[in-house]
Amino acid sequence: MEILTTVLSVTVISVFLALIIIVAEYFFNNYGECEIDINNGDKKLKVEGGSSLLSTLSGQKIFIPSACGGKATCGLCKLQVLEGAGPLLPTEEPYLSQDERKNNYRLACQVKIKNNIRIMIPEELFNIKEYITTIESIEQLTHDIKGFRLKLPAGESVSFKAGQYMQFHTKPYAKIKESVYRAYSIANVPSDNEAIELIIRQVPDGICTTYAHTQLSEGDQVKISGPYGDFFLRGDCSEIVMIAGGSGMAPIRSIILYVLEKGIDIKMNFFFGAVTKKDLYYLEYFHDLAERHDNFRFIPALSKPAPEDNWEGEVGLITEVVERYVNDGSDMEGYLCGSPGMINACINVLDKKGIPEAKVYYDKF
Amino acid sequence: MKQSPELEVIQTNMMPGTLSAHGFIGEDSRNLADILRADAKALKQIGISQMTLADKMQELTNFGIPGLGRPMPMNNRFEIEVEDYMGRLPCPFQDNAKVDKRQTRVRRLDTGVIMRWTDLNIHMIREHGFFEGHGSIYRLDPVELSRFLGII
Repeated sequence: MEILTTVLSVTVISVFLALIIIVAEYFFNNYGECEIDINNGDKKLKVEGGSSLLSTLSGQKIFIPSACGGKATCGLCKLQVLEGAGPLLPTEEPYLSQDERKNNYRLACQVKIKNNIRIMIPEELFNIKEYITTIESIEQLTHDIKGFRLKLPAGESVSFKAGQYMQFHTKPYAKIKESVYRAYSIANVPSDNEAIELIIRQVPDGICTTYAHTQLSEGDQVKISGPYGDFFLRGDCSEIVMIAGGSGMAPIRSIILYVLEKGIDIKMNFFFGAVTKKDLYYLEYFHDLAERHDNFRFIPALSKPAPEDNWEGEVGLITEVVERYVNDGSDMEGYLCGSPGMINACINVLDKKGIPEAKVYYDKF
Repeated sequence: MKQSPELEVIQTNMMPGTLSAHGFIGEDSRNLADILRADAKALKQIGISQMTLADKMQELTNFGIPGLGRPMPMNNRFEIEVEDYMGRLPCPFQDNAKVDKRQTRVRRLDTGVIMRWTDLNIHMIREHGFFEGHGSIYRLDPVELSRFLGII
């Protein structure tokens, strides 16, 4: 009898404690309906609280740039939050300057909506749209790089500047339960506006690139959104130097095709670096363009060609090759896309050649 | 060994698909506390600190960075190839560290043995004594690593 009473007492206490937890969760984690006031009342949204500002806006079809998928590692989703954001988080600090902090800029991925909130969104971001595309073709460009051509739904088109990027969304796969998105530069020319071409290199252990490389086939559907980004041709000069490595060729290709198509009077030098020949692609394509256009020069270079490569082109680190070719950069701009190591090294070389960093453009994701 | 709720959360961050495709635990059935304890014990037995290992790994990575992917010979002992990728990775231990997506592949010129690590491996070894679980694609056995680096 005594044992039964003890068991019953413990059960009753456990049930009581569980109820307290459930009730507390309801009150503390349920933020109810909140209002997002955008651009001083231009737009007001009623949303369910509890999610990040970035994902809540995305759910309302307002797309804020983000390359990392909301992990606070790219710093692109900065927005001015005038009211209701709560205190600045340590995860945001590295991405916000003193001026930005003073002006209430926050990372939208780190701000959780818990109450009514007032934000400012640049007008151009309202033009960003989401598309459900169909994969028209997949091309194996090198051992770890694939090219994807994504066809927009019939009757739809996308307006982008050469050099901008799209966000590419995965679906859950293998052991991965949630969808993620990452940023990839557009590789086709803006006039080809019923499709988006992306060049994606497989990152070891990368969630999104592994999805693209192992899960997708022609005919599959892919959600993308965009266009985003400030990497596009300025052209306030007579000559430009473009340097890319690996999948970094994508936005450079778009810019080259745009300049040639529009007949823009600017001289282009495209340096494409790799270690061995197996890492190069589109060689014939660019050599052919260079033969047909006097204002375009293509300089592929290998840093350590293999004997079987029979390589007769430039040899050396891409920075060494640029150093050999560029003399006076005073009337030049630089456009870079590739690994952060390559970008840093190239900024230094271009600076030495008279192209200051302010005239060197690259995506910072 | 039971583990704290904090380590439980961290172990969840280490599952496939949260921060990387394959995660950091691999096929290891132990909990994070046990994985950390076993590797700390192995290091203690050989008298090497996690800082010493991380410093040496960082030294090799730094040597390879200017090669931009080209193999770089170092002191007739190692050949180092460093590749970096766009973007950064947050540390699963939630310490606010954001680490470059960089992979270092090192070949011992005398034995031909190859080991590879990421910048996140270096950070997690230095700050948290974490060498990843058995079967994880970037698992580094602390004793093998010490031997490879010539520390023991």
